[in-house]
Amino acid sequence: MRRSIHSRVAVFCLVAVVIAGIAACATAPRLRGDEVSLPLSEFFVRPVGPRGQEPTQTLLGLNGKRVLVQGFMVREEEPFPGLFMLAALPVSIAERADGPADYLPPATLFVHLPDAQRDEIVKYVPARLELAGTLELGAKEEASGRVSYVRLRLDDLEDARTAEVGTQPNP
Amino acid sequence: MRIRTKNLKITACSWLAALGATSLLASEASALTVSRLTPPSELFATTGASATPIIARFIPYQRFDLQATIRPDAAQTITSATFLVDGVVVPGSVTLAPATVAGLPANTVVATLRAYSNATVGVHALSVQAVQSDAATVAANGNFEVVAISNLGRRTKNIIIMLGDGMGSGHRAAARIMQNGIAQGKARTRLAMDTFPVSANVTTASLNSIVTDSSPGMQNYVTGNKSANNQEGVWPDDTTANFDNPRFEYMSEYLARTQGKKLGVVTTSDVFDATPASMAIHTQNRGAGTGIVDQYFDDRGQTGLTVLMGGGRKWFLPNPTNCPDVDCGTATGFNGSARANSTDYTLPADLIAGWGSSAGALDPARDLLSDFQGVGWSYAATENDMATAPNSQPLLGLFALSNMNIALDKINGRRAASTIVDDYGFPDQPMLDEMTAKALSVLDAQSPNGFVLMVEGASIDKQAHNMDTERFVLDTIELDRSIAVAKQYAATHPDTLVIVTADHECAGVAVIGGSQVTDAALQTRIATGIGAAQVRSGVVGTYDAAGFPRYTLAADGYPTTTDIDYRMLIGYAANADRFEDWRTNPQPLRDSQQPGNAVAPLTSYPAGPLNRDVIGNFQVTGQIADAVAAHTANDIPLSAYGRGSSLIGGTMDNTDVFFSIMQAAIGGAK
Repeated sequence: MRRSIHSRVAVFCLVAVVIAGIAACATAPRLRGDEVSLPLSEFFVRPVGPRGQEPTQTLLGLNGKRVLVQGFMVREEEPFPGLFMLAALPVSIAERADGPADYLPPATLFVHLPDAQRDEIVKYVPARLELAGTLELGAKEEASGRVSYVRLRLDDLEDARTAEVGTQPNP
Repeated sequence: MRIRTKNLKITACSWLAALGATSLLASEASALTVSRLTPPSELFATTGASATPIIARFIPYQRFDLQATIRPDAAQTITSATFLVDGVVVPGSVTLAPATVAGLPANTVVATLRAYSNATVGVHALSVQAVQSDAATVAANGNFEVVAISNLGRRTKNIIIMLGDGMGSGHRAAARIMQNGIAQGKARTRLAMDTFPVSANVTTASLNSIVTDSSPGMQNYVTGNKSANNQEGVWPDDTTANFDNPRFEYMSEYLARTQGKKLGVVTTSDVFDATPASMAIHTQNRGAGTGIVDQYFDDRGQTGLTVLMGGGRKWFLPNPTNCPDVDCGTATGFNGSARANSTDYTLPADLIAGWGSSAGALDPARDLLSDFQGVGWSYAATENDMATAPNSQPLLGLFALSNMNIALDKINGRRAASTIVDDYGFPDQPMLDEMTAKALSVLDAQSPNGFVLMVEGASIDKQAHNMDTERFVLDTIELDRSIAVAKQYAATHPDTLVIVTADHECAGVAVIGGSQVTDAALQTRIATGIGAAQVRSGVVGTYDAAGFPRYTLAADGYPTTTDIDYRMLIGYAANADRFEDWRTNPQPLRDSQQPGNAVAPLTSYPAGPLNRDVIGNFQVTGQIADAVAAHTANDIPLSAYGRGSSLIGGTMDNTDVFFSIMQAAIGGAK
């Protein structure tokens, strides 16, 4: 496999509508009332064990249910259409320099856009987000080549409205 | 019969034939040609115009593949190919495989002869001759060199390479100032790497660029040959497969094969990352993590691998590939494995036969951890595990799922000053000097014929990319403490050579001066939000105004704080756009926010250089368009200590260092 930077760029350029940015939307996700708050800290047992991470009962119990998750959008050099990652901490990924040698925390949520928007690339938002959607569990190789374990399926991009908390990034 | 040539012919007969062919070519449009001849040479690249510099060099008996890409005429196929060295046909099987890179003419083939070697010192002529289905032939010429090994004296038994990823002279100077300080123009105490008696200046270009990445930057030292960016232990080819490229033999493979030496690989990054993999792995894709870690294990008999430590547990855990079709609600189903078919490896039959390599398999469900343990390796998941692992067994240490945490964050974790390592879920990670000491203990106990050990301070580079000054400086200090451990080992094991170097420079780091204000005053200036008028003017002291920044050290050997009054200031030449306020960034975990911290509202923190340090409003415009700083083509300093160091010196290409080390290991040094 050769690196496909050019093809990704091409995809990016072909997308007629690059989402202006979630941050431009309202300040809270549109809720249906059935969402359960799920902190990223409750995804996996900590510390991580010698045989890898283990899911919490809280996480397992919410499979297929609507949840509300807060976190930071992972900043990628090479974002993929229809997909972004959410971590509890601000993380930048320098794919061009380091590939998958990264500092992603074990509890990273893979957020999938609805099928109708699967070709769109979400603009990076430098803020804490609050997302609502349906939780999906299980190992899956994503289009990016990364393996996800916890995914959030957004019903609509409106559900990805931000709750941008705080404006003082340098206390 | 038509004969076409790309380069000068070797024999008189074929040269005359080539002259005839030249006139014939002028009147005929044809595609039949050799578009690539490997090993790479200027003779081939310039179509005979220049034979120098010699690109591919080897020591006697060092193995490498011969390969040519041959494009036939339309509607023709290539029926055979023959390689000749100095006009003599090279015995062995030549395999013709389809060229699968897009854009090549139909029926283009890649002809390969595996694992060739030559013991005759000097420059050799390499040619390939191919025949297509209508009996037309084509030929092309290149060259390579076999470098002499002389009997000079006592041989070097152990080779230790201390590799500061991205560590240029700026990084070293910054670490020296922060660690020890300068008094009236002299270092109060030198870094361990400063005490090495031999120095050299190293050039780092890769096969395809003046600016290398870590793959060629590392592997050039331990193969003697240039690879292209993103590639390690191989030359480029015209197939899309990641692991079938023409290979050349690593130092580790050669010395394991001929002397029974062992190999240790220690890093603070994920162990699949470019630098550690460039000690033993052959691939054109440095990102193919599953195949890379599998090859560590599968070919350990060929490399002598005995110690492997760093991050990267995610590649060693089985991935339940059928999820979510089957029940994944188990611990195994969520273990964090990153194994995937797309990054795994299989090898073609000719490569397996030629090199004796394992075949590989697309097996994301493989339990590589158990494979290691099943053949007698100890497995350490924490510093405590590592410390108690027996020296009598090979050692696998995987202290994080991906990269290990950075020295500043590990130290702050040990000081209970931050929760970053806890937040990542790996509270008991070793420091690099502890890993180095353990690796030396294990290798010393298990290597009667000596060893090759590479120890990498990986995040010097990764944090320089981020222009995160304090983090790259502390990682440089962490590496220097490891260098002290290696030097001490060499002092008590005098047949040991220790080399301190870098794969490339990262970010164009330079110590530009010192702050003219206290930390409190600096914070006041930042709070104004006025920008350069407050955060640059009156703060950045140059020449006399830089003074001598003085940091104090804690008992653990690291600065008590990096936010001192009148601090050292760092600039970046290969910088991306960023805001700068000169203060220590809490990143990667600003505010040490624990995942799921319920305190609301949580303080938001932007991740990128343009989204941090914004309050002072001092934006530094980058010279590059990337999101983070980039590698540079700057030369890097090399320091050497121990037996064989006398062979080092002057300005050297990074491939030259290989030949000096191999001379020391095989022929000895005075």
